[in-house]
Amino acid sequence: MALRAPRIDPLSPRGAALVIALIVMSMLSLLTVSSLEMLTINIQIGNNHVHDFQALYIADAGVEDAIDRLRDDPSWDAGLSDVEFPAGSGNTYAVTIDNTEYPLVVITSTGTVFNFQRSLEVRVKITGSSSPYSVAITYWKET
Amino acid sequence: MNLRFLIFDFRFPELRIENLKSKIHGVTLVELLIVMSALAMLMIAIVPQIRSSRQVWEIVGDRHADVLQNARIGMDKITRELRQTRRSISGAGSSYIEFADRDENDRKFQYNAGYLEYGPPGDLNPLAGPVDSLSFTYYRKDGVTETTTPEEISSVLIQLTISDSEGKVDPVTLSSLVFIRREGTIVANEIMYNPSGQDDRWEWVELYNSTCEDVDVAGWKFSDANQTDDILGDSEHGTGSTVIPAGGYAIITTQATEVYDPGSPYSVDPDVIKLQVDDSKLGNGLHDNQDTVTILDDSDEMVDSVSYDDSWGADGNDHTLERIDAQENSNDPLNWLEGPLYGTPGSEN
Repeated sequence: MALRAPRIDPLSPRGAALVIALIVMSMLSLLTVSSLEMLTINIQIGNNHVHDFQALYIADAGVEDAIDRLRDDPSWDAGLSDVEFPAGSGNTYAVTIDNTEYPLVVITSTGTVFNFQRSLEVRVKITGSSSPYSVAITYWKET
Repeated sequence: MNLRFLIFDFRFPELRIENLKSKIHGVTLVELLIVMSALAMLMIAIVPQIRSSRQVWEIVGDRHADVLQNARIGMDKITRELRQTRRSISGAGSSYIEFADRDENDRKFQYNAGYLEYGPPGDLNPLAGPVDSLSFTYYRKDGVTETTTPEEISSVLIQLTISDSEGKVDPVTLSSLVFIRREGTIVANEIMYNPSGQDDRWEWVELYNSTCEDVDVAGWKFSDANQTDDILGDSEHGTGSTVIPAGGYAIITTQATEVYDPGSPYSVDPDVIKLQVDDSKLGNGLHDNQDTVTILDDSDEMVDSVSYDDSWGADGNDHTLERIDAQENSNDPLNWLEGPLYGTPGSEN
């Protein structure tokens, strides 16, 4: 008895190219999407970097403000909260003072730009007998 | 895919190549053309995207870093130099600032033709750029009132905007604040210019040493608008010392003074340094309407100068003019007020 050929239509591969094309198109689409996503993330990283720098300089302004107040009044320890800098920008700095080891005073200033925060911890030594007192920076740390 | 049929070709004659060829029509070719067209369109669409994303990647990675670096160099230089200045600013404008550095050399920061420039005022060199804008805003001691009068400046707001030379990234703006740290000095701190009695006996000027060190005023001079006198130690009423201690006060009177006499209405701190001019008048006598009190050091360099007028107060009512802040402008009427009756000679205002 002669063997019968399997019931496979040899003409069926007609759709193969379309399937392959769809797969390739999907892969290219994925590549495009992921490329654009990477681009978006990278732009975001760049902006974050900028805001990070801006926050650092605003924290720096907070340290200056605190030192100026300490030069006038070395017992000043009230600190500052949410001082807008520059005025109208929406960016702020906040300062805390730790003078438990006076005349060594620790100034901690935090600059905020959008949701980004940078802090500076500055230790100073105050000398002098009258205003303006001398405020010497002995330690500076960016956090 | 067709290999399977080719392998079994010897068993299945109907699957032989020649038979297959006869049964395959041109449909796959049409499909192929459609697919190739679709792929070509897709590639046309995505290749520019991928290329631009690569470019932006490079921009974000390199140019952003360049711009930030540039901005940081500019801002750090400005803030560091201004914090180290040892005396008041000499020139202030919205796009420039002139000051003396810590070695007393005149220096200037200026925005010019798209660059931040720095150096001696007549020899500026580019420091950072391209700069979109550089602005200096100056404030008085209250931190609110703006001023461009150098003597009144207490703090400086610096805003620096820097962009990429090819304009491919957004400009970056950095803002910071510097408080000008003036060194302490000797200042005229209280003036009795129009006492109700005889002027040469009752006029006096109080000096205040706002430095952290004792200052010897031997060889210094006192002048009004018309005459200059030597400042001497007063050994008749005091110790004769001319050394004003750090944070301390001294009183300058005439040689005919009665300020320290028993029965004098003035309550003078007994420990205050007592000085006198070399004759019986302060200058040629402090004028009641307006005059200028100037203190010169032993090199005839002006240490402090106050030009008052009677609109400031204390005009013939035995009150004094009292200075509010030793660090602020000597000639600003807002830095002076009328003190209590007979003033506070030798004590804090």
